Amino acid sequence: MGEILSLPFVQRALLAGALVGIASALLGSFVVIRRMTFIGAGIAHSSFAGVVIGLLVGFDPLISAMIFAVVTGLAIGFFAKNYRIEEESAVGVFFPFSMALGILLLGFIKGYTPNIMGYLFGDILLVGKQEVYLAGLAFVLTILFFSIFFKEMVFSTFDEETSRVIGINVDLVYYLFLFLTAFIIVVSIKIVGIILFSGLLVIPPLISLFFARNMKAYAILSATIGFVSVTAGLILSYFLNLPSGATIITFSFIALLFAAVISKIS
Amino acid sequence: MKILELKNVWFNYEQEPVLENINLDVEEGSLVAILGPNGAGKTTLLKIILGLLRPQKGTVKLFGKPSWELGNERRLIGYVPQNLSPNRRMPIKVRSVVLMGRYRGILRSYTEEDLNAVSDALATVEMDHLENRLFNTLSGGQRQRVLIARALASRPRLLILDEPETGLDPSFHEGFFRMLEKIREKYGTTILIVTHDVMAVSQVVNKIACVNRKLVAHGRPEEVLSSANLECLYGKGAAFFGHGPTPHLIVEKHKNG
Repeated sequence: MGEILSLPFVQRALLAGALVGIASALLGSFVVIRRMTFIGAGIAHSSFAGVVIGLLVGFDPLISAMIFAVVTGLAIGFFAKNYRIEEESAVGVFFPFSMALGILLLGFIKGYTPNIMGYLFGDILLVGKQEVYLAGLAFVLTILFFSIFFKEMVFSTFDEETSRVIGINVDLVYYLFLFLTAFIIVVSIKIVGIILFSGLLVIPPLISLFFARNMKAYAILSATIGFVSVTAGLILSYFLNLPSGATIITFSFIALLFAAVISKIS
Repeated sequence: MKILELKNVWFNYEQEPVLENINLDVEEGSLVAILGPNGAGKTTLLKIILGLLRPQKGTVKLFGKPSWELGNERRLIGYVPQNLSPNRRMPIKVRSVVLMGRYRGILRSYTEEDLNAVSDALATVEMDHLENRLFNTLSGGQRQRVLIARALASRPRLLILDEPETGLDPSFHEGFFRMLEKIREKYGTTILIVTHDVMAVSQVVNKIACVNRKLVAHGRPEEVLSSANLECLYGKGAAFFGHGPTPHLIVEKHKNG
């Protein structure tokens, strides 16, 4: 065990993974309660076009993916709030469009095609120093957001209309939340991948919901489960020589099944 | 003193007129009921008063300011919405829901006074024994009482209730309008209530506003609850069935006797 921790690429993956696991589970706890699961998956998939554009024009794919994901996330929120379009329908438009655009543009990349599978399903060998810094930034921003706006998030999730009446800036909180969700998705791409990301967002909160008796406990338990899922999944993937993203999500899914059984027994 | 003033208020949803030329004043400390059939624009009227919707024409002044320009005065409003349906799996306790009524801004923590106000409000609606229960494990009527407690916890100057009797247990329902009257007497709270329960409100309210897209009538219960107004509100055939000075029931006359 000590031996693997001395490997720099494992250190980077574990550190970035732990930070991302906590932050995405915290955000995910509200994604689940607000019934926005499909949005998480939609924004993640929309970042695919950003990755391909980055590869095509020789730009860092992570940065272009981030721009694409953030713009898509905010666009979904904007259309849902201003055009009486259900959030799910807005996602149903942006999700396939971004994937289609990514596939179309992929054909224009001349010569060597980089490891697209790594972006789709995660590859810890792709986690460099930049990803660790980005994961750190995403973690700090998420913790800061919830330290400031936890009450506002709980109230506007529970009753948006009354939240507006009592003076909560519901739109500001909502767009900050969407922005952070889009940001964390992109930071997670190299660890779990675009396709598997929604598991990281949704499974830890679902496990937490079986046991939590108030909103604070729910968020903290989700974050703890997110941390354990990612670190345990990464260590397992190293020892069993399995793909990191798929191992993390499979491990989380088995934990969810266990939690469901335990909650029934207790 | 007028706490609420609506002047020539018009509101359309896209091209569809919902409210036409509404003029309504509410005196501080009064208890006013808004009556009208389904789809008459009552909830829209409340949302305009609350500043959640802005009318295409006209002015709405609350506490002397346009309702969509209210700042901290918003905290003087207690609001009980209609049909609240949060995610049934949200783990939020009754006490936390009522604490929402004591919200005072970002990064403001709750004081001893806030916690006492929450306990008082829960006791007023007889829900103090369930304060640690999860909100979504309560019955419909109990949830409604918690939402009323949340509105009361802010010690509002204006309490706005949108069909609060929906789902209330019959035992609590009977005393509900009396409770509103007591709140008004004790705290001097102005109360504006949208309701279908003509029988109950007519005994406690100072004024009734009948709305059916337009303000059909506005005044004291005995002035407003005439057959002509009722026909305008609920269609031909609607009438009061009454004995004594207070109207008791609206019935639809049977076509074949």
